[in-house]
Amino acid sequence: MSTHLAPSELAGLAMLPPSDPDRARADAHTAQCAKCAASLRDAGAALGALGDLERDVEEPNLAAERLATVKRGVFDALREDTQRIAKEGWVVLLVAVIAVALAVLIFPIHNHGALDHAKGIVAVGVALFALFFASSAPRAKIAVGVVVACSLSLIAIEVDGDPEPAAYHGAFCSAVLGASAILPACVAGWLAVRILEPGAGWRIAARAGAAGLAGQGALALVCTNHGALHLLPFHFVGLIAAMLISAAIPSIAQRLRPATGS
Amino acid sequence: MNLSDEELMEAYVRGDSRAFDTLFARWAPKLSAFFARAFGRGGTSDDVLQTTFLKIHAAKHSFQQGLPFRPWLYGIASRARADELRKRYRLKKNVADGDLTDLKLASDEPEPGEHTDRMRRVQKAIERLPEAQRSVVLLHRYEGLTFGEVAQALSIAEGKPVQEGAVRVRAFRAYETLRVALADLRPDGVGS
Repeated sequence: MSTHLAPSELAGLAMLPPSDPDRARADAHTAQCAKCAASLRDAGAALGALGDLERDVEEPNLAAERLATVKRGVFDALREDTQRIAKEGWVVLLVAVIAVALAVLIFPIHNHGALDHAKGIVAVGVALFALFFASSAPRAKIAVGVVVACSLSLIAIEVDGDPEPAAYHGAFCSAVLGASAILPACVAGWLAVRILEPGAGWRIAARAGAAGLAGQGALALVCTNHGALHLLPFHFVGLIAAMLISAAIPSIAQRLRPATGS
Repeated sequence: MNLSDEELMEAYVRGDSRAFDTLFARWAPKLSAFFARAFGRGGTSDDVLQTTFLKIHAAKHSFQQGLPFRPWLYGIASRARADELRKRYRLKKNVADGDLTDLKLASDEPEPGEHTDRMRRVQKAIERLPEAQRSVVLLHRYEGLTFGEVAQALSIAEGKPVQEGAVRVRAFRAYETLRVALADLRPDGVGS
């Protein structure tokens, strides 16, 4: 005969389905051991009282009414969420447009107005695409990838053997990228963290990136420093930094929140 | 057409909002009963149920195609339940789930006329379990999850891997405690 069932395991074994290997072993033993069989039966009988709670069924009409109220609450909140996301898109769009306009207006004045029209057309195309992207909010991770690819493509179009020092216009370019990416990201982040929203970081990063790409498009139009050592740190790395910072906004904001537990 | 939960969730992730409607109709009554066992009916339970469906919406992209829906759903529901417990005990958000272990759940106001003495005894016995064991009993005994599914759900709820073996140990300890507590409620009528 196999080993007797441990008293401390009787209750757990009694709650297992017959298909469970432990229960099957216990059943094989109890088939030969009347004492263990009785103990297992007793344990199962005592735990049968747990089923009482399942008999506590709510009156159907009352339950339906309650669930309908919960459902209204859920779907109202989802509608508000959709409206909030659309609002974020418009905020990003608005701030990006302002940043691009400022870059186009201020930079030629600072730089005595030397513009390359061919590159300018490409830049405006990228900016328009980025602005559309920022307001329509497709799936965030794909959007982040597209932003990075567009940014690198723009660098590839712009770059030439410019002899100007890398830092020439660096502060201006950083300011334009910062204004076009960080500010809308902060606004979008503030809107996003008002409710608990896991994964909001990616969406905010995508929006910041798209808005920053619009800024980068404007820089391609007005910045006369086309050296790779200028473009990579001040046009590309700045954009990536803006995306990383903005992606961290929701988790930073959640940490700073009072611990309500919700 | 009767789609599976997994197919409905995948459709919802792709943007089909009617799929969410169907999932709500299918799962809200079960989740409502799950929360009612912890917090009583109405009020808090309904709030946590609403929060759970909003969390499902927010986390929809974390649902992995090809994996079962039920443990994922109960993982989110268990997380919402744990958050409510934290709120109830005014614990900070970053308190580890393990620290909830020794909390005793204070049930909502008693519901006169709805519960028999036996039901109240069973309810109290479950409430007296440590949280880590109570959550396993609720998912295994009342929601019908296997120990493997409970482990998956608790991994989501607790934010760290929970092994099936650990769930089995928690369950066996809980059922032994309940067996002792409810020994006099056997069907032979003693204690009823």
